Formats: sequence, structure tokens, C-alpha cells
Amino acid sequence: MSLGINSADLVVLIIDDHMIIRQVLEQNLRGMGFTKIDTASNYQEARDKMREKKYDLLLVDWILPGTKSGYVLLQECRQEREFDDTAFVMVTTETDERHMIEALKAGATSYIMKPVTPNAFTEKINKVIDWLGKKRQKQAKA
Amino acid sequence: MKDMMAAYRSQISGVVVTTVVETFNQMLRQHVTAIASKHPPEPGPDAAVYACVRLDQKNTSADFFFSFDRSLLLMTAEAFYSKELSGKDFVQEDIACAVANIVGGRVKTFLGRQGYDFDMGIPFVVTKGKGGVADDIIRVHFSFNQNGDNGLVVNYLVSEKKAATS
Repeated sequence: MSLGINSADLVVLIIDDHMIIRQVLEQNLRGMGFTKIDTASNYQEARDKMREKKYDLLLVDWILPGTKSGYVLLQECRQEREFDDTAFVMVTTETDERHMIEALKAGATSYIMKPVTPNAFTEKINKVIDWLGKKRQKQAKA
Repeated sequence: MKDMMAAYRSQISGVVVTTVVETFNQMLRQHVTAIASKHPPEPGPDAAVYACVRLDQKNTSADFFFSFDRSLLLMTAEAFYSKELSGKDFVQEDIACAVANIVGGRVKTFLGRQGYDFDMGIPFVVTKGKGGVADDIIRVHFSFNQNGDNGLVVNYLVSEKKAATS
């Protein structure tokens, strides 16, 4: 529980082309109490699921197979008002600072580097839950 | 460009070692260690899964070939999936490509910090392991059990691109 938000109530979409990475991320989330988790392996599948369901948190691989990357998905969604309150966490193999800044400028809430280590993952996701909590508090006041 | 890659040989090997060990030990729940020996045998074709990731620049490409012992991939898969699913080729190949992707990304970042901007391709499975010759190659080896069996060999090969002919 963080800022009144229970991780079990949050709806998550994991987008990564590698099944093992989806599995690692999902298991880490379940270890933190998340229960509502969907997965997608590419941009189109992710978009289809996002049309069907409202997600609170997206974990997005920066590079996805096909014509549209995870970075493009982030850029597109940040132009759409319905995703204002959705947390985007970019998952990337690149550890370059410029890369991280680029992600944050494009509207990412946070980023996680691969290989994903449990402690770093938990720390980042807890901060994202706080971010979601603050967003909801603001909305409640408005 | 080949000279540049040769100059960074030991650092690139270091990046590969650190990344492979971190990936298996911290993310994939296996115990993998780097082996110091120069030419340990690679797993045979039937016992291996081969993956490749390419870093590309205008005139140069650097290919990283990974020879994974199937036993290592099976053990890794079993830590995440059912026994039945773990034995499937596509599951093991997915793990191989995921590791190749992470290693490639870290090397790309390292080279970027030296001022060399590479594009990284999507990792893919190859049917046969690639060896290499002389100075073009770096070989890094890892073991995965107490017997010190080879679990993974990473070969890295730098090629100058041939000019296109019209």
C-alpha cells in the first residue's frame, strides 16, 4: 500500500517481445502483490489490449519487433489525453544517460534497465506507485 | 574501425562478462561464472542453441555469436516454466535471444560512450555456431555448474562492410 494505492488493484500491461522477460517482469510484479497483469509481445498486440482495457501501468520494452517500437508507443500515448494518468515504465538494455533522459522527456514515468534485478525493480515500481497515488490525489481534489 | 574495436577488446570482453553474469545470476536465477581458460570446447551442435546479435555502423558490423549449452537453457527455463514447456526449442531460443539482446545493448552503450554510435539489430537464432580466426575475434566462456562445464561461449567478430557495386 502506497499513498492509498494497493498494488493488487492496479492493472498492468507488460510489453516485450521476449517471453522470458515478460515472465521475469510478471513474477517480480506478483511478488509485489500485483494480480491484474496482461502481456503483449509487440506494438499492435499492445494497442489492441489498450483499446479493450484501461491500464494503470505499462512496462514497455524500448525496442520491439516490427515497424513501431516501444518508444514510439510511449510518444503516441503521451499525445492522447486518455493516457494522462497512465504510468509508463520503459524497459531497456541501454544504460546510457542520454537514453534515459530521452525517455523521460518523451513522457516516461520511469525506466528499468535489463537485466532486471529484483531490488532495483521493486524500488522503481514503488516510486511509480507513489506517482500514481499523487495523480489520483490531485484528481480527487480537482 | 577494426582497430578501434581491437583497442577496446578487453573492455568489451569485460562488458560481456559482467552482463552475462549479472543476467544469469540476478535475473535468471542461475549460477554462471566466467572461465579463464583460453580455448575450452564449445558445446556440440546437438547440445547447443546459437544466437546472434549484430551491431551495425556505416562501414563496420560487429557480430556477437552466442553458443548456449542446452542444459543451461533448460535449467533456466525450468526456473520459470513448467517442465514440459521448458523442453521446447522456442522457449530455449527465446532465452538465448533475450540474453543476446541484453549483452548487445550493454556493448552498444559502452561503444556509444567512446563516441561510436552503433545500431543494434533484433537478435536471432542461427543454425550453426560461428567460430573465428586470429585477431578478429574475442571469445568469452562461462560455466554453469560445479563441474565447470561450459554453459555459454560468446564469440565476437568485427567485419568491414564491402562497398556496394553497381
